[in-house]
Amino acid sequence: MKKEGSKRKHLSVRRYTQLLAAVMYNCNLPGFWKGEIYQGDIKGVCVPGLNCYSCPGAVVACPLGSLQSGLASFRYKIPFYVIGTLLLFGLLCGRLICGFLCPFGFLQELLYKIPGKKIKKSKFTRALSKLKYIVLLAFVIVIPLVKFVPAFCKYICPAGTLAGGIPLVIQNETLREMVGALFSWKVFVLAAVLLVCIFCYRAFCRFLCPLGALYSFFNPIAFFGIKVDESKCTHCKTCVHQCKMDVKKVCDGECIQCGECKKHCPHQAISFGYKGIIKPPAKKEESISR
Amino acid sequence: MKYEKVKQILFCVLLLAAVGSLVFGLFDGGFADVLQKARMICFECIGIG
Repeated sequence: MKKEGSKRKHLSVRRYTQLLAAVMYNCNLPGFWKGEIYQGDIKGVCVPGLNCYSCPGAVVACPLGSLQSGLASFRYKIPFYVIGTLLLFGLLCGRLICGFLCPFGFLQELLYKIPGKKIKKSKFTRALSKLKYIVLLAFVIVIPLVKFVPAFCKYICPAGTLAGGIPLVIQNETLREMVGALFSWKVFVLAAVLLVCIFCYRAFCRFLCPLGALYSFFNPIAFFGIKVDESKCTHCKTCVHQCKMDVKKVCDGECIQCGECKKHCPHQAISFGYKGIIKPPAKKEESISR
Repeated sequence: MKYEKVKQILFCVLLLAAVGSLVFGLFDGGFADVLQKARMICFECIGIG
């Protein structure tokens, strides 16, 4: 009973954190009806999750947009600030950010709650999950460096279309007159992503998100997150079978550290917290026993 | 055990790189660059440019 309570508590903590992050990133509410974006000084701060800085509500900067913009002007200046920020976020939390601090991930989870037939993970989805690394390399790194264009923002990013493009185009007549084929393409991409997300859990995060791909490299070494107690784990794979992401084991690159596995582990071997990359000093009990 | 040691070293090296990069970037005007970009409507982001 107590265990059930703690599971619920964890899930609600995650939901509240997701909601809080989304609200905090986008708290410039007057921007939505004025059709203008926030221009205060804190907008130079990059947040960990995918959140378009052209959203009328956004009070902070999107790390992925800032990275592409920085790489597009690489000839003049290396974007150390953005690279350092992303490295720090990745090292501290890895893909815990996807599970807790990404507003677009939160939206996808809400869409998946719509009742209906769901697409389960398979070898196909596992193979498709590699696509995000290609998107990261091509659209976030190579094209901005070579063509000086933030290609992911321009051609793919559904978060930008949803939070930035559509509200601004609705409110701003000048922008409405500028709408063309590219905007139609981006609305199509957004519609396709949102539709797929109703049937497939976090489809954008799993198959397309370059920010998730970037953070996935840090998952095994991140400071905080999900950890498995090897002394309790029997390798029954219940965690992997219950997980909706394309994980092969807990805390691999695909794990968004949502804690769903913690709920299902029959041996309570999974927990959240400091992952022990840097070992703390030996415990008192151990030194006493010696 | 050896793998754990490699992870620890990698973590420390990357942490140093991250903090160094962030601090250097701040002094180098990185914050101002992001701010300048974020203050304007990004035509690429909204699908116009």
